Amino acid sequence: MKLVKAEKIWLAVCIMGYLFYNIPGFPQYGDMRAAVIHGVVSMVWVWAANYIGFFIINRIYRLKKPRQD
Amino acid sequence: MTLLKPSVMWICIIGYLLIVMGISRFISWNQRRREGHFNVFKATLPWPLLVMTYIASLMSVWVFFAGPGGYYRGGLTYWFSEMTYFPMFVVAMYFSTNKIWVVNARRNYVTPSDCFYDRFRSPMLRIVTGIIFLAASIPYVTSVMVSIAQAASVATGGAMNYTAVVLVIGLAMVVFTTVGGFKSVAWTDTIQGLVFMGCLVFIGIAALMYCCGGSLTACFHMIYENVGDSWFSYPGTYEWTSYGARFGYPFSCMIGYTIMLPHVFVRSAYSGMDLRTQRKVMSITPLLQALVWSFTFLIGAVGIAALPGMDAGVTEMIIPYIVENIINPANSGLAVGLMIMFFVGAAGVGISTADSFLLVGASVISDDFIIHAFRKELTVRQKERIGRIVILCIGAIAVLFALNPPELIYTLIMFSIAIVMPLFPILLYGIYWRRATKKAALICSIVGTVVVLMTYFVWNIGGTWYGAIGLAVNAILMPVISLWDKPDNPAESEEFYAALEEGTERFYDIRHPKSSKEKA
Repeated sequence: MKLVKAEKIWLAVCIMGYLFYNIPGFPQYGDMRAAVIHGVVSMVWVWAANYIGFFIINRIYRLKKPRQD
Repeated sequence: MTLLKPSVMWICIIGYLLIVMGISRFISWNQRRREGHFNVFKATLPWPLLVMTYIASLMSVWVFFAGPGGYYRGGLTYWFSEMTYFPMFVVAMYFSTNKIWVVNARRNYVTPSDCFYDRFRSPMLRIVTGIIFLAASIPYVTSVMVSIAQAASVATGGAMNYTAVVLVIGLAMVVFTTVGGFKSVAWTDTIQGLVFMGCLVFIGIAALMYCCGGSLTACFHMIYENVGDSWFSYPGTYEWTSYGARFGYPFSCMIGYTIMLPHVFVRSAYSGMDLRTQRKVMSITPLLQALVWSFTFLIGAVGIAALPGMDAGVTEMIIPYIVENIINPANSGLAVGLMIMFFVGAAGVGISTADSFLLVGASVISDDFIIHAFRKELTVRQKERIGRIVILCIGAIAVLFALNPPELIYTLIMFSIAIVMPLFPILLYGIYWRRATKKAALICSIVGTVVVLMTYFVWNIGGTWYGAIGLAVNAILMPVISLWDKPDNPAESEEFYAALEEGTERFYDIRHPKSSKEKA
């Protein structure tokens, strides 16, 4: 099934956030300050991307009221 | 450790089991009164029940054992790695099991293999995926019973009889799962989920209060004084969060643990009452995961602040250690209460996982193997009877294994998350690409398993990469084999895609945002 543009963007931003967290070699081993900054930035990115994107997608894919069968 | 007498522990065990069995009995009686005979393996659930059964069956005794120990060893960066994968559940479920839910609304699936069969129409694929899901399920049932019995032994300083605990808990769990069925398990999971979360929060706060004066800042200062900045940076004090490990384990959790393990798969793909329920599961589950694992992290942090330098194997018991060595001298009454909570929490989170695995494992044997293999037309009553007999049989086998667990059990548990991961690309290609063929799906389901076995036994990197390599291989192999193979008959997947399209039309009011041209 085809994805709309918003879904593709959402997926890409979320994956990019996760990949940003997992860049090999970054931050350097033993660098506490960099680890904390990198961790906090990654967390904010991934949480925000998933939830904001989910909110936007739900505005596109609104749910119909259940049919009274 | 001898904080609890065996008599107290037995009162806790029997009391707890009586409550759980009572709830189960009531739910199944009420369901039979309303519906008559019902499918023991399937039910539709409103969102509070589905969220709680999802979380309770997802979490296992590791919350109270390996979890705090993991954070003790892995440090702050391990917490970052977990917190970064939790929210990915939203997007992962949206694009995978939520689509299957839309199809299931018309197709009425029961087992995880049902949707794979429906898309690809391969009986052999049903058998192969059924074996994989079964292999992921049954060892878990045994391992949970083993862990609960060990928790009882730890809480009483070895005074509890291991065999007796396994028999009582194991048989009670098998009986209430057999009698109750899916809806009953969902209710008991909900109660147990609230119980274990409450216990975890209480233990975490108590540990922080008694070890660090109630201050997280003080806790971090103590850690820094004890072990320096290694706990706050990669790869951690015990070198647990290398670059490979910070990706491999959370990634396996993101795909294998929260989506593809069979007991959570049927919950997120089949059990939601409606799409509002599905959306609640997508949005609430990561928040609850973050809550549970953050308190587990808190306990691990308090552990290394108060008791640095513990041997890696001993860190699994950090909760009893904190209770015995720090809280008990200050407040023995509280220590007894916390030890009871440790056991009750471990039992609650463990039983809720084991019964879910038991149920889905039995559904694979009953539906995928017996009913579809023999292709008999059975009434609901006959299916219910077969289902209950199968639950009873494999539950009894799991209990027998738990009495004298073979070494292989622990090996198979390691595999559980890993071996289901390679099925994820098959699922996604099946949903989004009509050109994906049944031959490709079948080959990949086998190749993926082989690659996971090689990851563990040949390359010896299973502890870091789990099923990630198998998943990656299948992500490439599926399109390659599909394009090389001649296309399947479109009629075979027509019902699957028709259900997806019809469901999308039926449930959604799609409002595409206006483009800038349209706005102008």
